[in-house]
Amino acid sequence: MIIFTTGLLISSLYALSAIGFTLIFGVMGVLNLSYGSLMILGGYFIILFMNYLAWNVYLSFVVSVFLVSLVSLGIYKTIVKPIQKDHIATMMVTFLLAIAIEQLLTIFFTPEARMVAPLITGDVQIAGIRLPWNRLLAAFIAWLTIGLLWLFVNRTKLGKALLATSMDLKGADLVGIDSDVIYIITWVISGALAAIAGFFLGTYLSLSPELGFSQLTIAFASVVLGGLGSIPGSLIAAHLIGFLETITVFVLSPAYRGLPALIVLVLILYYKPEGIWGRATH
Amino acid sequence: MAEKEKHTILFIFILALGALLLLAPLFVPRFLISVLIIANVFAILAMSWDILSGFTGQLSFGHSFFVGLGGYISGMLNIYLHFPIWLSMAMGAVAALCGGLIMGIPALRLRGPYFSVVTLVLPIITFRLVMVYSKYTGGELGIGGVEALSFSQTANYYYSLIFMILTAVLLLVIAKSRWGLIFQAIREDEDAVMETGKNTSKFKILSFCFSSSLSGLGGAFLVHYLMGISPGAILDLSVTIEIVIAAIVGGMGTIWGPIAGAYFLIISREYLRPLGEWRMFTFAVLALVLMLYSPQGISSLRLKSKKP
Repeated sequence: MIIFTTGLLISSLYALSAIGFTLIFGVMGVLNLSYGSLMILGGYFIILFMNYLAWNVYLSFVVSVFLVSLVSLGIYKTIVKPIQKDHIATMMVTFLLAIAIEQLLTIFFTPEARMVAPLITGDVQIAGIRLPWNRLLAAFIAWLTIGLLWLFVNRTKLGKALLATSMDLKGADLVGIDSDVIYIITWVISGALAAIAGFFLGTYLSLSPELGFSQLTIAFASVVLGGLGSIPGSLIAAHLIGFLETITVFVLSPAYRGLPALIVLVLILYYKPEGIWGRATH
Repeated sequence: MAEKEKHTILFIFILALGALLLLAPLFVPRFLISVLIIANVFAILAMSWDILSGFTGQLSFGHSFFVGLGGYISGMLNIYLHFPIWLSMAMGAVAALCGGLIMGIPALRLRGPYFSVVTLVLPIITFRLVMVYSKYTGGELGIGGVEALSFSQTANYYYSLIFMILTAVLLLVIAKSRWGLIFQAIREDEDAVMETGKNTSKFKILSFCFSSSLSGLGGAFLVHYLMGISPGAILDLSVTIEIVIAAIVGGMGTIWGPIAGAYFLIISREYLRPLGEWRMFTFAVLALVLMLYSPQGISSLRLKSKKP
């Protein structure tokens, strides 16, 4: 039972991060390899604000999300936009950026792992299991965000424009959709999602600079398993991976954390690269 | 300046450089010799990365997979089974070659980003395996006591130099040959190459074979030079990063570029020691800026973006 609840809770976070990642890939075909770094950057901003500016955790959280969204936007404008057509170059560049961010964080925060303070402390007993309030909150916020995103994409004009751009750039252009604006929105949302996911992951597993790449792998694995451009797909896939990992950690050993995602990723890429619900790739 | 004059100047330049490298032990301080040995090894790694990623466009973000395979197999065969150095190194290269097939064959079905992420993952899985079997592999700390190539730094230097030059010559010959042309054509437009009736899979695997075995040899060399196996030196992500940055800074898709890039990276890494932790960051940013603005470094990539 504890496996089920733990699995559920961490899967919601993985789902959040997967969506942020697939958003950019789905809309413009670009792999933002610095996405993992953005996630932990969010967590580290919070540590920075709380420990050095003595802000409370709520303010830190909100400002961090805002900042990371800005950083994400900045990445798009300065680095990706000039070369977005060249997929190889964008991969290299975001990869290098991820390294640079990781190095910066290591310099300023040391390679040691740090815990991020939760939004709510304390536990609650449900069905005989002790669950930290913060984890429930994390899952709740994750689902709320996913729901809001769904509403945005499917019910608002802007959201539909985003969908349109992801399906057919030329078609969207023809109907007068400014792809640049769409991309800006995509990157900003992606950054915000990364920061939210990063914060909660920081309370759950402690934060360290190298966590960036392993989170990136999990997000990528979820996206690939679920199928490109399919948000419901990556949602479900994130849960599959989340449960797989929770089971592995409980049944085998915590040392194996992160490994199931890797293996799933490799297996899927070998045998069914389109994933479960995938659309045709760009 | 006429073409012929340019060629003569280039020729003299290379001769002078060659002489400098050959005579280095005579006038170069001892510690710098060790640095140059590492630079030579990284030149080999960067060049072998280039023939794969620079030439065929299949970006490998996990080249340390090959380096690590070569190093571990070579070292372990040497320590546990007492294979002589030349044999263990050869087996290391073979192991890396198998690794190249492991990475390469699925790559045939994967394009672009999918392939690159798989490459990122392979060394990580290997490292986990190293940890799981740490009884044999020494885990995170590795194993010491690998037979040394030579106890003379000068001898080691010349070994590394010869190795590097031979690799460079081999790869340059391949690069300038029909194969090299096909590699680059695959990078630019694989479908077009297939239309001409060429079996692109064969050539992609070929590039993997060259790239992986040479990197594996480099890893084996490193292990025997350092007289020990250490995952941090041959399997870690940082090794891949250094290889990639060296190749980018030097110029992807040229073979000789990565040599310059490797030398630049390794030598300045020494002299930038005062920067301490900022070194890697500086290199990453440098490579990033180069990728965005330098025509020479990314000329091979820019061409791709001109496609309609």
